[in-house]
Amino acid sequence: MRKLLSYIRLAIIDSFTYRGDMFLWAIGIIVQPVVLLVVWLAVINSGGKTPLSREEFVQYYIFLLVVRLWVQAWASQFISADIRLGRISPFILKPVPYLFFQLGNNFGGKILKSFFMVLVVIVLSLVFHLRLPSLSGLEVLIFFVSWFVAGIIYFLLDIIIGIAAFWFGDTLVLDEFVDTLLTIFSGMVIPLAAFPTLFQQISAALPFRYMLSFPIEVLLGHLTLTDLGIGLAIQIIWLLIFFKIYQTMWTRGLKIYSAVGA
Amino acid sequence: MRNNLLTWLEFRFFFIVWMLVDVLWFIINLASVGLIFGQVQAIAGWTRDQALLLVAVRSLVASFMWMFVFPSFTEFHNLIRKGELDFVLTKPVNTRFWLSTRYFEFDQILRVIVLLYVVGRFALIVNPAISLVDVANFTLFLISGLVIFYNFCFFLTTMNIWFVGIFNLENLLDSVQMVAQYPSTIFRGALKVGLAFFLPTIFIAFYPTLALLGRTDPGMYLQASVFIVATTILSQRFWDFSIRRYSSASS
Repeated sequence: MRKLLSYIRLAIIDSFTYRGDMFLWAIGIIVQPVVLLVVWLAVINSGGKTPLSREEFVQYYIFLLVVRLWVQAWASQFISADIRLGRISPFILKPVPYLFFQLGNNFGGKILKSFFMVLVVIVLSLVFHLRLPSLSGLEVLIFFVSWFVAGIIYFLLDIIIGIAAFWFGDTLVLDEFVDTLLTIFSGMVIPLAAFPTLFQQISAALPFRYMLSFPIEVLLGHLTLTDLGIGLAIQIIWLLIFFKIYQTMWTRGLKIYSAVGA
Repeated sequence: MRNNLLTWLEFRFFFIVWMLVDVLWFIINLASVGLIFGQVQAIAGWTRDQALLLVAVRSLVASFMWMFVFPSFTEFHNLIRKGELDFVLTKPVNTRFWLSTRYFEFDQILRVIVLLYVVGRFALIVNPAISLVDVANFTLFLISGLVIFYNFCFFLTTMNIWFVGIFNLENLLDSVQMVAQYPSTIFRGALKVGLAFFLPTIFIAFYPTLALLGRTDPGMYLQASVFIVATTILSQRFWDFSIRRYSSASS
Protein backbone atom coordinates (compact mmCIF):
# COMPACT_ATOMS: atom_id res chain seq x y z
CA MET A 1 0.00 0.00 0.00
CA ARG A 2 2.85 2.35 0.84
CA LYS A 3 4.39 1.47 -2.50
CA LEU A 4 1.20 2.55 -4.22
CA LEU A 5 1.22 5.88 -2.42
CA SER A 6 4.83 6.53 -3.34
CA TYR A 7 4.05 5.72 -6.98
CA ILE A 8 1.22 8.23 -6.82
CA ARG A 9 3.51 10.84 -5.33
CA LEU A 10 6.09 10.25 -8.04
CA ALA A 11 3.46 10.66 -10.70
CA ILE A 12 2.31 13.95 -9.19
CA ILE A 13 5.86 15.28 -9.17
CA ASP A 14 6.29 14.07 -12.74
CA SER A 15 3.22 15.93 -13.87
CA PHE A 16 4.79 19.17 -12.68
CA THR A 17 7.81 18.46 -14.81
CA TYR A 18 5.71 17.88 -17.88
CA ARG A 19 4.17 21.35 -17.72
CA GLY A 20 4.35 22.06 -21.43
CA ASP A 21 2.71 18.77 -22.16
CA MET A 22 -0.07 19.58 -19.74
CA PHE A 23 -0.84 22.81 -21.55
CA LEU A 24 -1.18 20.95 -24.84
CA TRP A 25 -3.23 18.25 -23.15
CA ALA A 26 -5.53 20.88 -21.69
CA ILE A 27 -6.29 22.48 -25.03
CA GLY A 28 -6.73 19.13 -26.71
CA ILE A 29 -9.09 17.71 -24.12
CA ILE A 30 -11.37 20.73 -23.88
CA VAL A 31 -11.72 21.50 -27.56
CA GLN A 32 -13.74 18.48 -28.61
CA PRO A 33 -16.60 18.66 -26.08
CA VAL A 34 -16.83 22.44 -26.37
CA VAL A 35 -16.99 22.36 -30.15
CA LEU A 36 -19.59 19.62 -30.14
CA LEU A 37 -21.65 21.48 -27.58
CA VAL A 38 -21.52 24.57 -29.79
CA VAL A 39 -22.57 22.49 -32.79
CA TRP A 40 -25.57 21.03 -30.95
CA LEU A 41 -26.56 24.47 -29.66
CA ALA A 42 -26.38 25.73 -33.23
CA VAL A 43 -28.76 22.95 -34.25
CA ILE A 44 -31.17 23.97 -31.51
CA ASN A 45 -30.85 27.62 -32.52
CA SER A 46 -31.68 26.65 -36.08
CA GLY A 47 -34.93 25.21 -34.80
CA GLY A 48 -33.93 21.57 -35.04
CA LYS A 49 -35.32 18.80 -32.89
CA THR A 50 -32.64 17.28 -30.71
CA PRO A 51 -32.60 14.22 -28.44
CA LEU A 52 -31.49 16.33 -25.49
CA SER A 53 -32.58 19.81 -24.49
CA ARG A 54 -30.21 22.78 -24.49
CA GLU A 55 -29.78 22.46 -20.74
CA GLU A 56 -29.08 18.77 -21.02
CA PHE A 57 -26.47 19.20 -23.73
CA VAL A 58 -24.64 21.76 -21.62
CA GLN A 59 -24.79 19.40 -18.66
CA TYR A 60 -23.70 16.43 -20.74
CA TYR A 61 -20.58 17.95 -22.24
CA ILE A 62 -19.40 19.69 -19.09
CA PHE A 63 -19.92 16.56 -16.99
CA LEU A 64 -18.18 14.63 -19.76
CA LEU A 65 -14.99 16.62 -19.20
CA VAL A 66 -14.87 15.77 -15.52
CA VAL A 67 -16.01 12.16 -15.75
CA ARG A 68 -13.70 11.41 -18.65
CA LEU A 69 -10.67 12.84 -16.88
CA TRP A 70 -11.01 10.41 -14.00
CA VAL A 71 -11.89 7.27 -15.93
CA GLN A 72 -9.13 7.56 -18.50
CA ALA A 73 -6.14 5.28 -18.74
CA TRP A 74 -3.22 5.72 -21.07
CA ALA A 75 -0.66 3.11 -20.16
CA SER A 76 -1.22 0.46 -22.82
CA GLN A 77 1.52 1.57 -25.21
CA PHE A 78 3.97 2.03 -22.35
CA ILE A 79 3.14 -1.43 -21.07
CA SER A 80 3.63 -2.92 -24.54
CA ALA A 81 7.00 -1.22 -24.77
CA ASP A 82 7.98 -2.49 -21.32
CA ILE A 83 7.18 -6.02 -22.40
CA ARG A 84 8.90 -5.76 -25.77
CA LEU A 85 12.03 -4.24 -24.28
CA GLY A 86 12.22 -6.70 -21.42
CA ARG A 87 11.58 -4.17 -18.69
CA ILE A 88 8.98 -6.45 -17.12
CA SER A 89 11.69 -8.83 -15.87
CA PRO A 90 11.99 -7.43 -12.36
CA PHE A 91 8.24 -7.84 -11.94
CA ILE A 92 7.90 -11.48 -12.95
CA LEU A 93 8.05 -12.85 -9.45
CA LYS A 94 6.04 -10.00 -7.97
CA PRO A 95 3.49 -8.84 -10.54
CA VAL A 96 1.48 -6.76 -8.10
CA PRO A 97 4.04 -3.93 -7.85
CA TYR A 98 3.88 -3.44 -11.62
CA LEU A 99 0.13 -3.10 -11.46
CA PHE A 100 0.54 -0.70 -8.56
CA PHE A 101 3.07 1.28 -10.53
CA GLN A 102 0.61 1.70 -13.39
CA LEU A 103 -2.21 2.48 -11.00
CA GLY A 104 -0.13 5.03 -9.14
CA ASN A 105 0.98 6.59 -12.38
CA ASN A 106 -2.61 6.81 -13.57
CA PHE A 107 -3.94 8.26 -10.33
CA GLY A 108 -1.11 10.68 -9.74
CA GLY A 109 -1.25 12.01 -13.25
CA LYS A 110 -4.85 13.01 -12.75
CA ILE A 111 -4.35 15.05 -9.58
CA LEU A 112 -2.75 18.09 -11.16
CA LYS A 113 -5.05 17.87 -14.16
CA SER A 114 -8.01 17.96 -11.80
CA PHE A 115 -7.05 21.33 -10.37
CA PHE A 116 -6.89 22.67 -13.85
CA MET A 117 -10.15 21.00 -14.81
CA VAL A 118 -11.97 22.67 -11.92
CA LEU A 119 -11.04 26.06 -13.38
CA VAL A 120 -12.14 25.00 -16.84
CA VAL A 121 -15.47 23.70 -15.58
CA ILE A 122 -16.17 26.92 -13.69
CA VAL A 123 -15.48 29.01 -16.79
CA LEU A 124 -17.56 26.79 -19.05
CA SER A 125 -20.41 26.66 -16.51
CA LEU A 126 -20.57 30.44 -16.56
CA VAL A 127 -20.22 30.79 -20.31
CA PHE A 128 -22.89 28.22 -21.11
CA HIS A 129 -25.11 28.86 -18.06
CA LEU A 130 -24.90 25.38 -16.62
CA ARG A 131 -27.89 24.36 -14.55
CA LEU A 132 -27.16 21.49 -12.18
CA PRO A 133 -29.72 18.68 -12.26
CA SER A 134 -31.51 17.92 -9.01
CA LEU A 135 -30.53 14.50 -7.85
CA SER A 136 -31.56 12.39 -4.90
CA GLY A 137 -28.94 11.28 -2.42
CA LEU A 138 -29.19 7.78 -3.77
CA GLU A 139 -28.57 8.95 -7.33
CA VAL A 140 -25.50 10.86 -6.23
CA LEU A 141 -24.19 7.79 -4.45
CA ILE A 142 -24.83 5.59 -7.46
CA PHE A 143 -23.05 8.15 -9.61
CA PHE A 144 -19.88 7.96 -7.56
CA VAL A 145 -19.99 4.18 -7.50
CA SER A 146 -20.57 3.94 -11.26
CA TRP A 147 -17.82 6.50 -11.89
CA PHE A 148 -15.39 4.49 -9.82
CA VAL A 149 -16.29 1.21 -11.49
CA ALA A 150 -16.09 2.83 -14.93
CA GLY A 151 -12.54 3.90 -14.14
CA ILE A 152 -11.54 0.41 -13.12
CA ILE A 153 -13.04 -1.12 -16.26
CA TYR A 154 -11.19 1.46 -18.38
CA PHE A 155 -7.95 0.74 -16.53
CA LEU A 156 -8.29 -3.02 -16.93
CA LEU A 157 -9.06 -2.79 -20.63
CA ASP A 158 -6.05 -0.54 -21.06
CA ILE A 159 -3.82 -3.08 -19.33
CA ILE A 160 -5.27 -5.93 -21.36
CA ILE A 161 -4.35 -4.17 -24.59
CA GLY A 162 -0.92 -3.47 -23.18
CA ILE A 163 -0.17 -7.02 -22.18
CA ALA A 164 -1.36 -8.33 -25.53
CA ALA A 165 2.24 -7.48 -26.33
CA PHE A 166 3.17 -10.84 -24.84
CA TRP A 167 1.67 -12.32 -28.03
CA PHE A 168 1.67 -9.53 -30.61
CA GLY A 169 4.76 -7.53 -31.40
CA ASP A 170 2.81 -4.44 -32.21
CA THR A 171 -0.30 -3.67 -30.20
CA LEU A 172 -0.87 -0.31 -31.81
CA VAL A 173 -3.44 -1.60 -34.27
CA LEU A 174 -5.41 -3.27 -31.49
CA ASP A 175 -5.16 -0.10 -29.43
CA GLU A 176 -6.42 2.08 -32.28
CA PHE A 177 -9.23 -0.33 -33.04
CA VAL A 178 -10.48 -0.39 -29.46
CA ASP A 179 -10.03 3.37 -29.31
CA THR A 180 -12.27 3.72 -32.35
CA LEU A 181 -14.98 1.57 -30.79
CA LEU A 182 -14.61 3.52 -27.59
CA THR A 183 -14.99 6.84 -29.35
CA ILE A 184 -18.19 5.74 -31.02
CA PHE A 185 -19.88 3.69 -28.33
CA SER A 186 -18.88 5.44 -25.13
CA GLY A 187 -20.70 8.68 -25.88
CA MET A 188 -17.42 10.54 -25.95
CA VAL A 189 -18.33 12.55 -29.03
CA ILE A 190 -22.09 12.28 -29.38
CA PRO A 191 -24.44 11.31 -26.54
CA LEU A 192 -25.72 7.78 -26.99
CA ALA A 193 -29.26 9.12 -26.68
CA ALA A 194 -28.77 10.74 -30.10
CA PHE A 195 -28.12 7.42 -31.79
CA PRO A 196 -30.74 5.43 -33.68
CA THR A 197 -32.34 2.74 -31.53
CA LEU A 198 -30.36 -0.10 -33.05
CA PHE A 199 -27.08 1.55 -32.19
CA GLN A 200 -28.27 2.30 -28.69
CA GLN A 201 -29.03 -1.38 -28.24
CA ILE A 202 -25.58 -2.31 -29.54
CA SER A 203 -24.04 0.23 -27.17
CA ALA A 204 -25.89 -1.29 -24.25
CA ALA A 205 -24.35 -4.67 -25.04
CA LEU A 206 -20.79 -3.39 -25.34
CA PRO A 207 -18.59 -2.40 -22.40
CA PHE A 208 -17.82 1.10 -23.68
CA ARG A 209 -21.02 2.72 -22.52
CA TYR A 210 -20.21 1.60 -19.00
CA MET A 211 -16.78 3.17 -19.18
CA LEU A 212 -18.01 6.70 -19.73
CA SER A 213 -21.58 7.33 -20.78
CA PHE A 214 -23.33 5.50 -17.95
CA PRO A 215 -21.94 7.64 -15.09
CA ILE A 216 -22.85 10.75 -17.08
CA GLU A 217 -26.35 9.42 -17.70
CA VAL A 218 -26.72 8.84 -13.97
CA LEU A 219 -25.66 12.40 -13.32
CA LEU A 220 -28.17 13.81 -15.79
CA GLY A 221 -30.83 12.39 -13.52
CA HIS A 222 -33.23 10.91 -16.05
CA LEU A 223 -32.65 7.25 -15.34
CA THR A 224 -35.25 5.31 -13.39
CA LEU A 225 -34.27 3.24 -10.40
CA THR A 226 -34.55 0.11 -12.52
CA ASP A 227 -32.27 1.56 -15.18
CA LEU A 228 -29.77 2.52 -12.52
CA GLY A 229 -29.84 -0.94 -11.02
CA ILE A 230 -29.46 -2.72 -14.33
CA GLY A 231 -26.72 -0.36 -15.45
CA LEU A 232 -24.72 -0.87 -12.29
CA ALA A 233 -25.14 -4.62 -12.52
CA ILE A 234 -23.89 -4.70 -16.11
CA GLN A 235 -20.95 -2.50 -15.09
CA ILE A 236 -19.94 -4.95 -12.41
CA ILE A 237 -20.31 -7.87 -14.80
CA TRP A 238 -17.95 -6.20 -17.28
CA LEU A 239 -15.58 -5.44 -14.45
CA LEU A 240 -15.41 -9.10 -13.51
CA ILE A 241 -15.05 -10.19 -17.14
CA PHE A 242 -12.14 -7.84 -17.76
CA PHE A 243 -10.50 -8.75 -14.51
CA LYS A 244 -10.66 -12.43 -15.41
CA ILE A 245 -9.25 -11.74 -18.87
CA TYR A 246 -6.46 -9.65 -17.39
CA GLN A 247 -5.55 -12.32 -14.83
CA THR A 248 -5.50 -15.09 -17.44
CA MET A 249 -3.49 -13.07 -19.93
CA TRP A 250 -0.97 -11.95 -17.35
CA THR A 251 -0.22 -15.45 -16.03
CA ARG A 252 -0.10 -17.01 -19.49
CA GLY A 253 1.85 -14.09 -20.85
CA LEU A 254 4.47 -14.26 -18.14
CA LYS A 255 5.00 -17.97 -18.83
CA ILE A 256 5.73 -17.20 -22.48
CA TYR A 257 7.92 -14.29 -21.50
CA SER A 258 9.96 -16.30 -19.01
CA ALA A 259 10.31 -19.23 -21.40
CA VAL A 260 11.77 -16.94 -24.02
CA GLY A 261 14.10 -15.36 -21.52
CA ALA A 262 15.52 -18.65 -20.23
CA MET B 1 12.43 8.81 -52.14
CA ARG B 2 13.00 5.24 -53.29
CA ASN B 3 13.72 4.13 -49.75
CA ASN B 4 10.34 5.41 -48.69
CA LEU B 5 8.57 3.43 -51.39
CA LEU B 6 10.37 0.21 -50.44
CA THR B 7 9.49 0.64 -46.81
CA TRP B 8 5.95 1.17 -47.91
CA LEU B 9 5.86 -2.15 -49.72
CA GLU B 10 7.07 -3.94 -46.62
CA PHE B 11 4.22 -2.73 -44.56
CA ARG B 12 1.55 -3.79 -47.02
CA PHE B 13 -0.31 -5.72 -44.39
CA PHE B 14 -0.54 -2.92 -41.89
CA PHE B 15 -1.42 -0.68 -44.77
CA ILE B 16 -4.52 -2.70 -45.54
CA VAL B 17 -5.60 -2.77 -41.93
CA TRP B 18 -5.05 0.94 -41.48
CA MET B 19 -6.93 1.57 -44.71
CA LEU B 20 -9.96 -0.27 -43.39
CA VAL B 21 -9.80 1.70 -40.15
CA ASP B 22 -9.55 4.84 -42.26
CA VAL B 23 -12.65 4.03 -44.27
CA LEU B 24 -14.48 3.27 -41.06
CA TRP B 25 -13.50 6.64 -39.62
CA PHE B 26 -14.57 8.48 -42.72
CA ILE B 27 -17.97 6.83 -42.65
CA ILE B 28 -18.28 7.58 -38.94
CA ASN B 29 -17.46 11.25 -39.50
CA LEU B 30 -20.02 11.52 -42.27
CA ALA B 31 -22.60 9.66 -40.21
CA SER B 32 -22.00 11.90 -37.19
CA VAL B 33 -22.67 15.01 -39.25
CA GLY B 34 -25.76 13.40 -40.69
CA LEU B 35 -26.89 12.44 -37.20
CA ILE B 36 -26.37 15.91 -35.81
CA PHE B 37 -28.19 17.58 -38.65
CA GLY B 38 -31.16 15.26 -38.22
CA GLN B 39 -34.10 17.00 -39.79
CA VAL B 40 -32.71 20.50 -39.65
CA GLN B 41 -32.42 22.35 -42.95
CA ALA B 42 -29.34 24.35 -42.11
CA ILE B 43 -27.02 25.07 -39.22
CA ALA B 44 -25.29 28.46 -39.13
CA GLY B 45 -25.96 28.91 -42.81
CA TRP B 46 -24.74 25.48 -43.87
CA THR B 47 -26.96 22.70 -45.20
CA ARG B 48 -26.34 19.06 -44.48
CA ASP B 49 -24.87 18.35 -47.91
CA GLN B 50 -22.53 21.30 -47.61
CA ALA B 51 -21.45 20.07 -44.20
CA LEU B 52 -20.79 16.60 -45.62
CA LEU B 53 -18.65 18.20 -48.32
CA LEU B 54 -16.71 19.94 -45.57
CA VAL B 55 -16.08 16.61 -43.86
CA ALA B 56 -14.82 15.11 -47.11
CA VAL B 57 -12.55 18.08 -47.81
CA ARG B 58 -11.12 17.89 -44.32
CA SER B 59 -10.38 14.18 -44.77
CA LEU B 60 -8.67 14.94 -48.05
CA VAL B 61 -6.52 17.61 -46.43
CA ALA B 62 -5.72 15.21 -43.60
CA SER B 63 -4.39 12.76 -46.20
CA PHE B 64 -2.05 15.40 -47.53
CA MET B 65 -0.95 16.14 -44.02
CA TRP B 66 -0.24 12.48 -43.44
CA MET B 67 1.77 12.36 -46.63
CA PHE B 68 3.86 15.46 -46.29
CA VAL B 69 3.62 16.97 -42.84
CA PHE B 70 3.27 14.42 -40.06
CA PRO B 71 6.05 11.95 -40.86
CA SER B 72 8.69 14.68 -40.73
CA PHE B 73 7.38 16.01 -37.48
CA THR B 74 7.33 12.64 -35.79
CA GLU B 75 10.98 12.29 -36.72
CA PHE B 76 11.75 15.86 -35.70
CA HIS B 77 10.00 15.29 -32.39
CA ASN B 78 12.04 12.16 -31.72
CA LEU B 79 15.30 13.83 -32.66
CA ILE B 80 14.73 16.55 -30.11
CA ARG B 81 13.59 14.19 -27.42
CA LYS B 82 16.59 11.95 -27.88
CA GLY B 83 18.88 14.94 -27.96
CA GLU B 84 20.15 14.07 -31.42
CA LEU B 85 19.42 17.46 -32.88
CA ASP B 86 23.13 18.36 -32.84
CA PHE B 87 23.81 15.81 -35.54
CA VAL B 88 21.23 17.43 -37.75
CA LEU B 89 22.34 20.98 -37.04
CA THR B 90 25.79 20.30 -38.41
CA LYS B 91 24.50 19.32 -41.82
CA PRO B 92 25.27 21.81 -44.59
CA VAL B 93 21.67 21.84 -45.83
CA ASN B 94 19.26 24.29 -44.22
CA THR B 95 18.09 22.40 -41.15
CA ARG B 96 14.45 23.23 -41.44
CA PHE B 97 14.28 22.14 -45.05
CA TRP B 98 16.13 18.90 -44.27
CA LEU B 99 13.85 18.08 -41.37
CA SER B 100 10.76 18.75 -43.38
CA THR B 101 11.44 16.88 -46.57
CA ARG B 102 13.16 13.72 -45.45
CA TYR B 103 10.10 11.66 -44.77
CA PHE B 104 7.17 11.45 -47.09
CA GLU B 105 4.80 8.56 -46.81
CA PHE B 106 2.94 7.38 -49.83
CA ASP B 107 0.56 4.87 -48.35
CA GLN B 108 -1.95 7.68 -48.44
CA ILE B 109 -1.98 7.86 -52.25
CA LEU B 110 -4.91 5.52 -52.59
CA ARG B 111 -6.83 7.43 -49.96
CA VAL B 112 -6.10 10.70 -51.71
CA ILE B 113 -7.39 9.39 -55.02
CA VAL B 114 -10.57 8.05 -53.46
CA LEU B 115 -11.19 11.22 -51.49
CA LEU B 116 -10.56 13.41 -54.51
CA TYR B 117 -13.27 11.46 -56.25
CA VAL B 118 -15.64 11.75 -53.27
CA VAL B 119 -14.97 15.48 -52.91
CA GLY B 120 -15.52 15.92 -56.62
CA ARG B 121 -18.84 14.11 -56.57
CA PHE B 122 -20.09 15.91 -53.44
CA ALA B 123 -18.99 19.26 -54.86
CA LEU B 124 -20.92 18.69 -58.08
CA ILE B 125 -24.03 17.75 -56.12
CA VAL B 126 -23.82 20.74 -53.81
CA ASN B 127 -22.66 23.28 -56.38
CA PRO B 128 -23.71 22.11 -59.85
CA ALA B 129 -22.54 25.41 -61.30
CA ILE B 130 -18.99 24.81 -60.09
CA SER B 131 -16.42 26.47 -62.34
CA LEU B 132 -12.72 26.09 -63.02
CA VAL B 133 -12.18 29.30 -61.08
CA ASP B 134 -13.76 27.64 -58.06
CA VAL B 135 -11.47 24.65 -58.44
CA ALA B 136 -8.48 26.96 -58.78
CA ASN B 137 -9.52 28.82 -55.64
CA PHE B 138 -9.97 25.49 -53.91
CA THR B 139 -6.43 24.45 -54.77
CA LEU B 140 -5.14 27.82 -53.63
CA PHE B 141 -6.83 27.68 -50.25
CA LEU B 142 -5.94 24.02 -49.85
CA ILE B 143 -2.27 24.79 -50.26
CA SER B 144 -2.49 27.85 -48.03
CA GLY B 145 -4.18 25.75 -45.35
CA LEU B 146 -1.44 23.14 -45.57
CA VAL B 147 1.30 25.76 -45.32
CA ILE B 148 -0.32 27.47 -42.32
CA PHE B 149 -0.91 24.15 -40.59
CA TYR B 150 2.66 23.09 -41.35
CA ASN B 151 3.98 26.27 -39.70
CA PHE B 152 1.68 25.63 -36.77
CA CYS B 153 3.07 22.10 -36.38
CA PHE B 154 6.59 23.38 -36.72
CA PHE B 155 6.01 25.90 -33.97
CA LEU B 156 4.53 23.28 -31.66
CA THR B 157 7.24 20.72 -32.33
CA THR B 158 9.92 23.33 -31.62
CA MET B 159 8.41 23.53 -28.15
CA ASN B 160 10.05 20.16 -27.50
CA ILE B 161 13.31 22.03 -27.15
CA TRP B 162 11.85 23.95 -24.23
CA PHE B 163 9.66 21.43 -22.49
CA VAL B 164 10.59 17.94 -21.44
CA GLY B 165 8.48 15.10 -22.77
CA ILE B 166 5.61 16.41 -24.83
CA PHE B 167 3.29 13.48 -25.41
CA ASN B 168 0.07 15.24 -26.09
CA LEU B 169 0.99 16.93 -29.33
CA GLU B 170 -0.89 14.25 -31.20
CA ASN B 171 -4.01 14.86 -29.11
CA LEU B 172 -3.89 18.56 -29.83
CA LEU B 173 -3.43 18.05 -33.55
CA ASP B 174 -6.28 15.53 -33.55
CA SER B 175 -8.46 18.16 -31.90
CA VAL B 176 -7.48 20.73 -34.50
CA GLN B 177 -8.48 18.29 -37.23
CA MET B 178 -11.72 17.57 -35.46
CA VAL B 179 -12.71 21.21 -35.19
CA ALA B 180 -11.77 21.77 -38.83
CA GLN B 181 -14.61 19.56 -40.02
CA TYR B 182 -17.34 21.78 -38.62
CA PRO B 183 -18.35 25.03 -40.32
CA SER B 184 -16.51 27.86 -38.59
CA THR B 185 -19.70 29.92 -38.79
CA ILE B 186 -20.98 28.18 -35.68
CA PHE B 187 -18.41 30.01 -33.58
CA ARG B 188 -18.82 33.51 -32.25
CA GLY B 189 -16.52 35.99 -30.56
CA ALA B 190 -13.69 34.71 -28.44
CA LEU B 191 -14.46 31.13 -29.33
CA LYS B 192 -14.18 31.98 -33.02
CA VAL B 193 -10.84 33.70 -32.54
CA GLY B 194 -9.57 30.83 -30.46
CA LEU B 195 -10.82 27.89 -32.45
CA ALA B 196 -10.78 29.26 -35.97
CA PHE B 197 -7.69 31.42 -36.00
CA PHE B 198 -5.49 30.61 -33.03
CA LEU B 199 -5.72 26.91 -33.83
CA PRO B 200 -5.81 27.66 -37.54
CA THR B 201 -8.73 25.36 -38.22
CA ILE B 202 -10.54 27.81 -40.49
CA PHE B 203 -7.85 27.55 -43.15
CA ILE B 204 -7.58 23.78 -43.17
CA ALA B 205 -10.93 22.81 -44.63
CA PHE B 206 -13.46 25.61 -44.22
CA TYR B 207 -11.98 28.09 -46.67
CA PRO B 208 -11.18 25.46 -49.34
CA THR B 209 -14.78 24.23 -49.06
CA LEU B 210 -16.13 27.76 -49.39
CA ALA B 211 -14.11 27.96 -52.60
CA LEU B 212 -15.78 24.82 -53.95
CA LEU B 213 -19.14 26.34 -53.11
CA GLY B 214 -18.18 29.48 -55.00
CA ARG B 215 -18.56 31.54 -51.83
CA THR B 216 -15.15 33.15 -51.56
CA ASP B 217 -14.72 36.81 -50.67
CA PRO B 218 -11.66 39.08 -50.77
CA GLY B 219 -11.33 38.98 -46.97
CA MET B 220 -10.47 35.30 -47.14
CA TYR B 221 -7.54 35.86 -49.48
CA LEU B 222 -6.26 38.64 -47.26
CA GLN B 223 -6.55 36.57 -44.11
CA ALA B 224 -4.86 33.57 -45.70
CA SER B 225 -1.98 35.70 -46.99
CA VAL B 226 -1.49 37.41 -43.65
CA PHE B 227 -1.53 34.10 -41.84
CA ILE B 228 0.91 32.45 -44.24
CA VAL B 229 3.38 35.26 -43.81
CA ALA B 230 2.83 35.65 -40.08
CA THR B 231 3.04 31.95 -39.25
CA THR B 232 6.12 31.48 -41.41
CA ILE B 233 7.93 34.35 -39.73
CA LEU B 234 6.80 33.38 -36.24
CA SER B 235 7.71 29.72 -36.57
CA GLN B 236 11.08 30.56 -38.13
CA ARG B 237 11.90 33.14 -35.44
CA PHE B 238 10.89 30.75 -32.69
CA TRP B 239 13.00 28.00 -34.28
CA ASP B 240 16.06 30.25 -34.63
CA PHE B 241 15.67 31.50 -31.09
CA SER B 242 15.23 27.99 -29.72
CA ILE B 243 18.19 26.59 -31.62
CA ARG B 244 20.42 29.37 -30.33
CA ARG B 245 19.38 28.56 -26.78
CA TYR B 246 19.72 24.83 -27.42
CA SER B 247 23.22 25.19 -28.86
CA SER B 248 24.41 27.40 -26.05
CA ALA B 249 22.99 24.97 -23.52
CA SER B 250 24.73 21.92 -24.90
CA SER B 251 28.14 23.48 -25.63
